[in-house]
Amino acid sequence: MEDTSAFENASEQKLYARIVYHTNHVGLFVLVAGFALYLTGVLSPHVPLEDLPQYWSLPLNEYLEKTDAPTGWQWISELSYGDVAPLLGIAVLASVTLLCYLVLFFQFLQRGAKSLVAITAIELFFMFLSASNLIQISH
Amino acid sequence: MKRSILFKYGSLLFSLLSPSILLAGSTAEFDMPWWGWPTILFFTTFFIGVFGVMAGIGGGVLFVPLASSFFPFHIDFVRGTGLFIALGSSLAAAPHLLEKNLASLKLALPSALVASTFAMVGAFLGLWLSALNPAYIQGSLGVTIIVIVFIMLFAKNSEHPDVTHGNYLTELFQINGIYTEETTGKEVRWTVHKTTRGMLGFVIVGLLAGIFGLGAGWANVAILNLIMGAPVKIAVATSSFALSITDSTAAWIYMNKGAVLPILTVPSMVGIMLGAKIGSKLLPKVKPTVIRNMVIGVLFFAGVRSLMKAFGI
Repeated sequence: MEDTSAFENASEQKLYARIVYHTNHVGLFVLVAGFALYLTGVLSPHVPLEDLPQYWSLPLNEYLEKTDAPTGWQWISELSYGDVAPLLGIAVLASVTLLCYLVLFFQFLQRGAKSLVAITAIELFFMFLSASNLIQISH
Repeated sequence: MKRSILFKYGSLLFSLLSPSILLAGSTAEFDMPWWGWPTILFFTTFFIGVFGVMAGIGGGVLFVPLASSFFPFHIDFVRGTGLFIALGSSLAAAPHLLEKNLASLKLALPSALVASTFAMVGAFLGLWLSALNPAYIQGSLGVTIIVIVFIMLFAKNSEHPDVTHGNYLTELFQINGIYTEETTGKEVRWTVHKTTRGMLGFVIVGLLAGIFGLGAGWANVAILNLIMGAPVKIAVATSSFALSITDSTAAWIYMNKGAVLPILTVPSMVGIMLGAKIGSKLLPKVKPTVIRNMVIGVLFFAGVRSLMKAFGI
């Protein structure tokens, strides 16, 4: 007979759901607000909106060369540009999972769930690595 | 009767996607104001959201082949947007699925770790291949989409698979859970098996997500349900939730490399989220299998178009 008492959901599941719910809403608000500032012309962009069709079909490297668009974390210092401002909302949305994992890591650590601590730690390492822009590829 | 429903939804789907299909081709020929393509993109993603939910297919897998084949945007920016579409949809769905215990954190953690690590590798590989020649990506995307179409047509999910003994990994991560089946009110206890084989599957899922910017929900469900033996409801919900983890590493890489254009990404994310909300409300009123077949048809068409574009046809 199978021991069904062992079947249970992670106790952190509901906490994870609440964090995603709230941070996702914050991210969406910041995203739409930034985009509104861009479209309405309140913040002037690197590339004028009417010139965009000349650039959006270019390969990435060529686009970056011609528009001087920011890469890596440069966007932080260029948030006053209309076409960079929406990146703040995009970054918030991309960070939601990272935040959840940080909370999970400490929760698992507190209850001594070693295997889950290891998984979240490795995942956090890869998330920070990809967000850090430390890895570069050359062509 | 069936034929008329099929015809009705088929014509509707094609008419909704027709602006992008009709205007496909050399964009230089069309003297459209700057807001023209983003507006068409918004409506296209809105309908992708509506039909994607009704067909049980994630938005990313429809968006990338359609937008890269029928819109003037370079495939680098389309893939960046595809990842954020999948991420946004997953974040929107996750709280409800986790609260209802349909998405399982214990199942998602190991699978998403493997997938997200390889999504990171895939993102670099995709950007490198695209820099060599975008046709490599466009062509392999076409082939991948056609393979996905066949997987979708022939892989039949199993509602409650028979699960034999879990292996070492299943025990180590205690991959099991309980959920309430709403149709019967009964509590269902589940676990998984063949975890190692499943994890190998997530290597491929991650690579494809990173290279092409696809959400890869179609593959997650097949691995979780058909290989690992998770009940189909758990597989579908955990797949939807796990995309927010899988895609976040690749999404950061595309953003850091400058491959996220707000003029594409924001209308697409908003469009697909609004569409998915409408789609979930319409879901009880439509036959999902009919819609699913229609969407698979459009996907096949987009895959062929992507392949043709790679060969300059």
